[in-house]
Amino acid sequence: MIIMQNSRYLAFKALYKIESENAYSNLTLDSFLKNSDLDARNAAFVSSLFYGVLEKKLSLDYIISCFSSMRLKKIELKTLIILRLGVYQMVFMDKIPDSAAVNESVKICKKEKLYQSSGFVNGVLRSIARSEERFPLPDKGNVEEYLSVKYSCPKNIVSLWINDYSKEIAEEILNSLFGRSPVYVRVNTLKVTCDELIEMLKSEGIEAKAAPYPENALELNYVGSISETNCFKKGLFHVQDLSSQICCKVLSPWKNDIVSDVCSAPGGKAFNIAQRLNGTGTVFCSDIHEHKLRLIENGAKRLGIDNIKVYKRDALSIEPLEMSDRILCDVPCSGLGVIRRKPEIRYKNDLGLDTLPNIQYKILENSAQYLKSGGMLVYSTCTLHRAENGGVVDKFLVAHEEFEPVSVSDFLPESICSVIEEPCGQFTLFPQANNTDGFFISLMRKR
Amino acid sequence: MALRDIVKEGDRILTKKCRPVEKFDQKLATLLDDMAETLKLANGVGLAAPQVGILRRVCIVDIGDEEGLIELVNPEIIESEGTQSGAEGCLSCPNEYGIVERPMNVTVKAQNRNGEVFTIKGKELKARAFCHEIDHLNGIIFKQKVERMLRPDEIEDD
Repeated sequence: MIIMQNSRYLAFKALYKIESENAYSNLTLDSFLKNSDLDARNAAFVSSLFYGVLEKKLSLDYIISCFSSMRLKKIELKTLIILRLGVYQMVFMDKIPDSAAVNESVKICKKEKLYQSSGFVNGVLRSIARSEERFPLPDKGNVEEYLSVKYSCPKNIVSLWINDYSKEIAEEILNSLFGRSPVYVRVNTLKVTCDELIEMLKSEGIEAKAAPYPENALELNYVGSISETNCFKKGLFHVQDLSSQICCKVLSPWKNDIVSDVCSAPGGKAFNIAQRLNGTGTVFCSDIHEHKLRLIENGAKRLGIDNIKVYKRDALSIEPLEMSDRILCDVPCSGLGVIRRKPEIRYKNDLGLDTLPNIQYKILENSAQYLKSGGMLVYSTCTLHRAENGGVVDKFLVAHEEFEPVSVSDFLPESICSVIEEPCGQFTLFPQANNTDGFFISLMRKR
Repeated sequence: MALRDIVKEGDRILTKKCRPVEKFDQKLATLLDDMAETLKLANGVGLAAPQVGILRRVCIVDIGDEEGLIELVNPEIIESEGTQSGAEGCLSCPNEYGIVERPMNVTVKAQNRNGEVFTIKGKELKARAFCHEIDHLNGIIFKQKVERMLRPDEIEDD
């Protein structure tokens, strides 16, 4: 026997799992949706509720604290999630009548046997419904608090961006965190051309257009499951943000090059590089996580790439690398550049902001010794945090005179602009400027 | 543990009366384990052995409450009381739901996987699930008892 799924209840259960087990948002939602028999329309509703509540959690909690007689910390987790869902529908969603938001929230309380909470939830939501100002904001004088509530981003990240960049840039970044990220893919040039793939996607009902830069990047207008499409199954492309595609372009691998990609999983950049090598040379892909190596192998197989070698290696280990013409150190980072794709990153208690730079530096230093003279190395992250980006590179260049910075912007068209002043050899992509993930690329050559 | 395929409506196996379990062996244990895994993935609240192609009087119910998974071998309803009317669906009839009248409270006598006899009470959803699954063991699916099937536009939210 099976019982009917209530969309809001499903969103509640998925959110509760995230909060109580620290699960990954995309995996959690996928498994809940897969196990339900909701049709596409209801699945989309669940998905918008789920991501909406995750994304706006701090804003929602602030609103709840303004209208609740109970202190936020005293509200039991399930009740708090039901409230967040209700408030989200009332404040941030169009077309949902207040009565529906209130009644459905009370129903979830009853389903969860939270009989005492149902009156409280009812009371808080009704007082929001009666209020003129549904989304009150803290005083603008307290910039960090104000921005934190307005954009639902923890204060430590807000202050970090204000300090690292400026108040204006911080607000621009914050403003860019909402809404869907564009979907970019890299054309598998081993199998098709850009124009051919656009046509083939079109015949599957998917609109695709070439990105202005770099070559062989397509932007897809598609909300369904990309891995279910024929073009994907045939290995005609892989999903990859423009920022990562630009990173591979900057690495500029040449025919017959030996390339080392030291933190490779899930392998997107290695695939791109292997395609640029057009079957020549070798890309040595290593990663510390055994289970993730399968992702690289499977991806390479699907794409028909045979010039990569996958193996397990800790990027900090003394195990030598092949002497390489190109090295990519796409190091583990705090991920502040991809919050738009993974809304829960910002709420992590320990982003590693203090410890990561040290690890990143060691990975860079350890890898760089295997670069051939005249070879090029790219150090990259998907974060917006100076200490993990320019901070690591500056320190490295001071300590290693045999390396010289090489201009990144020489590889980029004028349309890709920088928001901040950076030394030669460093370039930060900001989401608000280029509609990419936040990403840092630095390029250096060994003399 | 392994997933088993769920037999869909139209398969004659769903119309047959199942035979009692006589041997409480490893084969039965494996069947119960597989059914539990299959039920969990399908996000259902109950599954009967004929739905995975086995004509034996075995079913499981898990409505997601603190009691968790209930394994019923050779179950019988020995008492029932009251009525409830509500929507239910069946893993063998995807995306179809109907209003079915069921008892509000039932008491079921059954054996566990070791053959020990026990009784268990269920009310509301659990009573509904017991009845639905035990019907399967007699070759009956909910559509034979339905008051009316729900229209697609009614299936959105309960």
